[in-house]
Amino acid sequence: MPFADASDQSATMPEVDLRWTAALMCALTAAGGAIAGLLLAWVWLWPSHVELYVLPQLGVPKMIASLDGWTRLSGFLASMLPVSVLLFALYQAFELFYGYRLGRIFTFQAPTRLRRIGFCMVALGLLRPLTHTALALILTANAPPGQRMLSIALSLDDYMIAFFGGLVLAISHVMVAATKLAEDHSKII
Amino acid sequence: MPIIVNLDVMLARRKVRSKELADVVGITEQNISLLKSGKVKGVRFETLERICAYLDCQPGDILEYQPEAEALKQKSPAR
Repeated sequence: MPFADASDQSATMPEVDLRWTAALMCALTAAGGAIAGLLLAWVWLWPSHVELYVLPQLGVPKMIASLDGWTRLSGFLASMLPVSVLLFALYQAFELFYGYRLGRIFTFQAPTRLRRIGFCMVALGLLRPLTHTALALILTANAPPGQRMLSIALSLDDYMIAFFGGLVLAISHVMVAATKLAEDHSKII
Repeated sequence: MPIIVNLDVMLARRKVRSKELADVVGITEQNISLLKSGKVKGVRFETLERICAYLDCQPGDILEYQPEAEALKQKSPAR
Protein backbone atom coordinates (compact mmCIF):
# COMPACT_ATOMS: atom_id res chain seq x y z
CA MET A 1 0.00 0.00 0.00
CA PRO A 2 1.67 3.17 -1.11
CA PHE A 3 2.12 5.95 1.41
CA ALA A 4 1.39 9.63 0.71
CA ASP A 5 4.25 11.35 -1.05
CA ALA A 6 6.24 13.10 1.67
CA SER A 7 8.54 14.91 -0.74
CA ASP A 8 6.26 17.80 -1.73
CA GLN A 9 8.02 19.80 -4.44
CA SER A 10 6.01 23.02 -4.10
CA ALA A 11 7.48 25.82 -1.97
CA THR A 12 5.78 26.46 1.37
CA MET A 13 4.61 29.93 2.45
CA PRO A 14 7.67 30.58 4.70
CA GLU A 15 9.96 29.65 1.80
CA VAL A 16 8.19 32.06 -0.54
CA ASP A 17 8.41 34.81 2.10
CA LEU A 18 12.10 34.10 2.57
CA ARG A 19 12.80 34.32 -1.15
CA TRP A 20 10.96 37.62 -1.42
CA THR A 21 12.83 39.04 1.57
CA ALA A 22 16.13 37.80 0.18
CA ALA A 23 15.40 39.29 -3.25
CA LEU A 24 14.49 42.62 -1.65
CA MET A 25 17.68 42.64 0.42
CA CYS A 26 19.75 41.83 -2.67
CA ALA A 27 18.26 44.87 -4.38
CA LEU A 28 18.76 47.08 -1.33
CA THR A 29 22.39 46.09 -0.79
CA ALA A 30 23.20 46.60 -4.46
CA ALA A 31 21.45 49.96 -4.47
CA GLY A 32 23.15 50.93 -1.20
CA GLY A 33 26.58 50.19 -2.61
CA ALA A 34 25.90 52.13 -5.78
CA ILE A 35 24.52 55.09 -3.87
CA ALA A 36 27.48 55.16 -1.46
CA GLY A 37 30.00 55.30 -4.29
CA LEU A 38 28.08 57.82 -6.36
CA LEU A 39 27.35 60.03 -3.37
CA LEU A 40 31.01 60.13 -2.41
CA ALA A 41 32.03 61.08 -5.93
CA TRP A 42 29.26 63.69 -6.08
CA VAL A 43 30.48 65.33 -2.83
CA TRP A 44 34.16 65.51 -3.82
CA LEU A 45 33.54 66.51 -7.43
CA TRP A 46 32.49 70.06 -6.59
CA PRO A 47 34.21 72.42 -4.11
CA SER A 48 30.85 73.78 -3.02
CA HIS A 49 29.77 70.30 -1.93
CA VAL A 50 32.96 69.81 0.04
CA GLU A 51 32.35 73.18 1.74
CA LEU A 52 28.77 72.29 2.53
CA TYR A 53 29.08 68.66 3.66
CA VAL A 54 32.69 67.83 4.56
CA LEU A 55 34.21 70.90 6.21
CA PRO A 56 31.51 71.31 8.90
CA GLN A 57 31.81 67.64 9.81
CA LEU A 58 35.57 67.93 10.19
CA GLY A 59 35.39 71.27 11.96
CA VAL A 60 37.74 72.81 9.37
CA PRO A 61 37.13 76.54 8.72
CA LYS A 62 36.53 77.45 5.07
CA MET A 63 39.25 80.08 5.03
CA ILE A 64 42.08 77.62 5.63
CA ALA A 65 40.74 74.72 3.57
CA SER A 66 42.24 74.03 0.17
CA LEU A 67 39.66 72.90 -2.39
CA ASP A 68 41.73 72.54 -5.56
CA GLY A 69 41.46 69.47 -7.78
CA TRP A 70 44.39 67.53 -6.31
CA THR A 71 43.22 68.14 -2.74
CA ARG A 72 39.73 66.99 -3.58
CA LEU A 73 41.11 63.90 -5.35
CA SER A 74 43.23 63.09 -2.29
CA GLY A 75 40.21 63.65 -0.08
CA PHE A 76 38.12 61.37 -2.27
CA LEU A 77 40.76 58.62 -2.12
CA ALA A 78 41.04 58.94 1.66
CA SER A 79 37.26 58.77 1.97
CA MET A 80 37.25 55.71 -0.29
CA LEU A 81 39.10 53.72 2.37
CA PRO A 82 36.14 53.27 4.73
CA VAL A 83 33.74 53.30 1.80
CA SER A 84 35.66 50.42 0.18
CA VAL A 85 35.28 48.44 3.38
CA LEU A 86 31.58 49.30 3.37
CA LEU A 87 31.26 48.22 -0.28
CA PHE A 88 32.98 44.91 0.50
CA ALA A 89 30.59 44.36 3.41
CA LEU A 90 27.61 45.16 1.19
CA TYR A 91 28.92 42.73 -1.44
CA GLN A 92 29.14 40.00 1.21
CA ALA A 93 25.59 40.84 2.30
CA PHE A 94 24.44 40.68 -1.33
CA GLU A 95 26.00 37.25 -1.82
CA LEU A 96 24.54 36.08 1.50
CA PHE A 97 20.99 37.07 0.55
CA TYR A 98 21.46 35.74 -2.99
CA GLY A 99 22.31 32.38 -1.45
CA TYR A 100 19.22 32.59 0.78
CA ARG A 101 17.15 33.32 -2.31
CA LEU A 102 18.42 30.08 -3.84
CA GLY A 103 17.53 28.20 -0.66
CA ARG A 104 21.14 27.88 0.50
CA ILE A 105 20.53 28.79 4.10
CA PHE A 106 22.46 26.27 6.16
CA THR A 107 25.69 26.22 4.21
CA PHE A 108 29.20 26.97 5.46
CA GLN A 109 29.39 29.94 3.11
CA ALA A 110 26.74 31.86 5.05
CA PRO A 111 28.67 32.11 8.35
CA THR A 112 31.83 32.89 6.39
CA ARG A 113 30.11 35.87 4.77
CA LEU A 114 28.66 36.93 8.11
CA ARG A 115 32.12 36.77 9.63
CA ARG A 116 33.47 38.99 6.86
CA ILE A 117 30.67 41.48 7.46
CA GLY A 118 31.54 41.47 11.15
CA PHE A 119 35.21 42.13 10.43
CA CYS A 120 34.24 44.94 8.07
CA MET A 121 32.12 46.58 10.75
CA VAL A 122 34.95 46.38 13.27
CA ALA A 123 37.33 47.80 10.65
CA LEU A 124 34.89 50.62 9.89
CA GLY A 125 34.71 51.54 13.56
CA LEU A 126 38.50 51.86 13.55
CA LEU A 127 38.86 53.50 10.13
CA ARG A 128 36.35 56.30 10.57
CA PRO A 129 38.36 58.26 13.16
CA LEU A 130 41.53 57.71 11.13
CA THR A 131 39.82 58.96 7.96
CA HIS A 132 38.56 62.00 9.84
CA THR A 133 42.13 62.84 10.86
CA ALA A 134 43.50 62.18 7.37
CA LEU A 135 40.88 64.41 5.74
CA ALA A 136 41.57 67.31 8.11
CA LEU A 137 45.28 67.02 7.29
CA ILE A 138 44.65 66.79 3.53
CA LEU A 139 42.27 69.75 3.41
CA THR A 140 44.58 72.01 5.40
CA ALA A 141 47.89 70.79 3.94
CA ASN A 142 48.19 73.89 1.72
CA ALA A 143 47.30 76.32 4.50
CA PRO A 144 50.08 78.61 5.80
CA PRO A 145 52.20 77.16 8.61
CA GLY A 146 50.49 77.60 11.94
CA GLN A 147 47.05 77.19 10.36
CA ARG A 148 47.22 73.54 9.43
CA MET A 149 44.90 71.31 11.43
CA LEU A 150 45.31 67.97 13.08
CA SER A 151 41.90 66.74 14.14
CA ILE A 152 41.23 63.61 16.14
CA ALA A 153 37.58 62.74 16.63
CA LEU A 154 36.23 59.75 18.50
CA SER A 155 32.49 59.29 18.57
CA LEU A 156 30.07 56.87 20.14
CA ASP A 157 28.94 55.93 16.61
CA ASP A 158 32.36 54.51 15.79
CA TYR A 159 32.41 52.49 19.01
CA MET A 160 28.89 51.16 18.37
CA ILE A 161 29.74 50.13 14.79
CA ALA A 162 32.77 48.20 16.04
CA PHE A 163 30.74 46.72 18.92
CA PHE A 164 27.97 45.48 16.64
CA GLY A 165 30.63 44.14 14.31
CA GLY A 166 31.85 42.06 17.23
CA LEU A 167 28.29 40.84 17.82
CA VAL A 168 27.99 39.80 14.17
CA LEU A 169 31.29 37.89 14.52
CA ALA A 170 29.89 36.05 17.55
CA ILE A 171 26.68 35.24 15.66
CA SER A 172 28.68 33.88 12.70
CA HIS A 173 30.58 31.63 15.11
CA VAL A 174 27.29 30.21 16.40
CA MET A 175 26.05 29.79 12.82
CA VAL A 176 29.01 27.54 12.02
CA ALA A 177 27.91 25.20 14.81
CA ALA A 178 24.29 25.46 13.64
CA THR A 179 25.31 24.60 10.09
CA LYS A 180 27.17 21.51 11.29
CA LEU A 181 24.05 20.45 13.21
CA ALA A 182 21.91 21.01 10.12
CA GLU A 183 24.31 18.98 8.02
CA ASP A 184 24.19 16.11 10.54
CA HIS A 185 20.41 16.37 10.61
CA SER A 186 20.21 16.15 6.83
CA LYS A 187 21.96 12.78 7.03
CA ILE A 188 19.09 11.37 9.10
CA ILE A 189 16.52 9.98 6.69
CA MET B 1 30.38 1.18 11.88
CA PRO B 2 28.84 -1.47 14.18
CA ILE B 3 25.32 -1.08 12.70
CA ILE B 4 25.06 -3.02 9.44
CA VAL B 5 22.22 -2.24 7.05
CA ASN B 6 20.90 -5.28 5.19
CA LEU B 7 18.31 -3.42 3.15
CA ASP B 8 19.77 -4.64 -0.14
CA VAL B 9 19.27 -8.24 1.01
CA MET B 10 15.63 -7.58 1.91
CA LEU B 11 15.02 -5.76 -1.37
CA ALA B 12 16.40 -8.75 -3.27
CA ARG B 13 14.24 -11.19 -1.26
CA ARG B 14 11.08 -9.21 -1.88
CA LYS B 15 12.09 -8.44 -5.47
CA VAL B 16 11.58 -4.72 -4.94
CA ARG B 17 13.66 -2.10 -6.69
CA SER B 18 15.23 0.84 -4.83
CA LYS B 19 13.27 3.37 -6.87
CA GLU B 20 9.99 1.66 -6.08
CA LEU B 21 10.77 1.60 -2.35
CA ALA B 22 11.87 5.26 -2.45
CA ASP B 23 8.60 6.32 -4.10
CA VAL B 24 6.50 4.37 -1.63
CA VAL B 25 8.38 5.42 1.51
CA GLY B 26 8.61 9.05 0.42
CA ILE B 27 12.35 9.57 0.37
CA THR B 28 14.70 10.03 -2.56
CA GLU B 29 16.40 7.16 -4.34
CA GLN B 30 19.70 8.75 -3.37
CA ASN B 31 18.79 8.42 0.31
CA ILE B 32 17.84 4.78 -0.23
CA SER B 33 21.30 4.23 -1.74
CA LEU B 34 22.93 5.99 1.21
CA LEU B 35 20.89 3.85 3.60
CA LYS B 36 21.86 0.63 1.80
CA SER B 37 25.54 1.55 1.99
CA GLY B 38 25.23 2.52 5.66
CA LYS B 39 26.32 6.12 5.02
CA VAL B 40 23.48 7.79 6.89
CA LYS B 41 23.69 9.20 10.42
CA GLY B 42 20.32 7.82 11.45
CA VAL B 43 16.91 6.59 10.39
CA ARG B 44 13.65 8.04 11.63
CA PHE B 45 11.19 5.57 13.16
CA GLU B 46 8.63 6.77 10.64
CA THR B 47 10.91 5.86 7.72
CA LEU B 48 11.76 2.49 9.29
CA GLU B 49 8.05 1.79 9.86
CA ARG B 50 7.24 2.50 6.21
CA ILE B 51 10.09 0.32 4.96
CA CYS B 52 9.11 -2.58 7.19
CA ALA B 53 5.43 -2.23 6.29
CA TYR B 54 6.15 -2.29 2.56
CA LEU B 55 8.76 -5.07 2.67
CA ASP B 56 6.75 -7.02 5.28
CA CYS B 57 9.72 -7.48 7.57
CA GLN B 58 11.04 -6.58 11.02
CA PRO B 59 13.59 -3.85 11.78
CA GLY B 60 15.98 -6.60 12.78
CA ASP B 61 15.79 -7.96 9.23
CA ILE B 62 17.17 -4.68 7.94
CA LEU B 63 19.45 -3.56 10.77
CA GLU B 64 22.09 -5.73 12.39
CA TYR B 65 24.54 -4.99 15.18
CA GLN B 66 28.07 -6.28 14.72
CA PRO B 67 30.40 -4.95 17.38
CA GLU B 68 33.93 -4.23 16.30
CA ALA B 69 36.48 -6.88 17.33
CA GLU B 70 38.38 -4.68 19.84
CA ALA B 71 35.15 -3.57 21.53
CA LEU B 72 34.01 -7.17 21.75
CA LYS B 73 37.23 -8.25 23.48
CA GLN B 74 37.12 -5.41 26.01
CA LYS B 75 33.41 -5.21 26.77
CA SER B 76 32.11 -8.78 26.70
CA PRO B 77 33.95 -10.83 29.31
CA ALA B 78 30.84 -13.04 29.79
CA ARG B 79 30.91 -14.32 26.22
